[in-house]
Amino acid sequence: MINIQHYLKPKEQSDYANYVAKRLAHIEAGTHCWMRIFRTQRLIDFKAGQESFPEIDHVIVYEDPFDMEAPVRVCRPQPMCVHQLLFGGVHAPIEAHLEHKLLMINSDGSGDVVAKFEADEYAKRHDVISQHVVDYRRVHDEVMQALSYEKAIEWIMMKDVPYLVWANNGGQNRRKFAIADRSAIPHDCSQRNAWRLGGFHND
Amino acid sequence: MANKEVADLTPADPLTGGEALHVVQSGNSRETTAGAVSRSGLGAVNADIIPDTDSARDLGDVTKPWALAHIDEVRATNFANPGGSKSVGADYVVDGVAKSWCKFSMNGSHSITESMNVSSITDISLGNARLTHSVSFSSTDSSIPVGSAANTISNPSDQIVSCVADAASSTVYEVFDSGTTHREYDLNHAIVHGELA
Repeated sequence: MINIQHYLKPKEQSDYANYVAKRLAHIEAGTHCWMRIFRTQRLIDFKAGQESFPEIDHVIVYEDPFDMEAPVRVCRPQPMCVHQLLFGGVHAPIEAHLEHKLLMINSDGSGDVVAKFEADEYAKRHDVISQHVVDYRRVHDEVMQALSYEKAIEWIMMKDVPYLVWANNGGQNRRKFAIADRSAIPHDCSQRNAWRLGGFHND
Repeated sequence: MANKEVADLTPADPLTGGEALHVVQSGNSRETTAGAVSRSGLGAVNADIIPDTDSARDLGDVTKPWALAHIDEVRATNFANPGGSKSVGADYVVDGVAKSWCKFSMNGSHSITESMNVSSITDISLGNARLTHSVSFSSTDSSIPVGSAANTISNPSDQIVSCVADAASSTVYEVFDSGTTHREYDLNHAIVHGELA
């Protein structure tokens, strides 16, 4: 579990909660989400007093839902994003990300509007040449309160890992992903393209 | 003036600086002039906020710019240098700001050194990574300057980087050696320009 207090000098810790609450009070629902991220990033950077945060302890290892023979993918949550989720008041609920609408333009000139969580599967069945976001209001209008570390990792997985991997196990009994300890990932990449999910344990 | 409220008085003409004013200093009544007040800085503001002789609603001028302003939001048509000889429309400035950037290592750890608006980095396969944005871009039409160096900034080698927005919310980043073999290097960066969703 990451605690922002660990990164503060002792004299900063006493008034830290009030300081954050006061600053975040200016970040209201309806503010462009990018502005919320930008303002909070500066705040966290300043209070942390160091150049960057340590890596997050867990990674999400998952199979390509469309190519069983492909090497596993390793999704590493970005430390600052995790800290923003732990702070609260920055990001939108995962439903806002998954359900926002995309206009998919195909090479034959046709197009369809699909929800974000359907986009990966659509792109596999069509020759998509571009995506255009047509409705992103909920991401700006809705703001979550602080999440636990576990919920923050889950939020990033649901946003950044294809829906078919984690939703209902892709309709299969076998799990297609694992939340693994970062130390389980080999540093030697000479056999990178031979990595398979069975080599990683669920945390 | 006796028995009149200030609001009952005839409005003054534009001030010339010589008008006598009553001020209170340290509890004592003193006399000063409008010009003295202006020179102290207060009048200079008022004189230029209100349209002056050139009918322009200016704040300060080239020789007397405002030193510092604290403003929650600036809404401007153009940005220009002090002399006004160079300018650019505010839309170009706003649209031209990098909305996402990331410096990361692909070699083993796939760790992010510094980033903005990135929620995760996914190691897809050897020399192939995906950066996912916290806030999506409006389309896949974003522009992405990229770079990669082998191990140190003083030892760049001849790698080739391919980068494309594979979705409005993510960017795929591939690195090859001088041929067609995927490689993983320590120093990589991507900066994404474009319109946010």
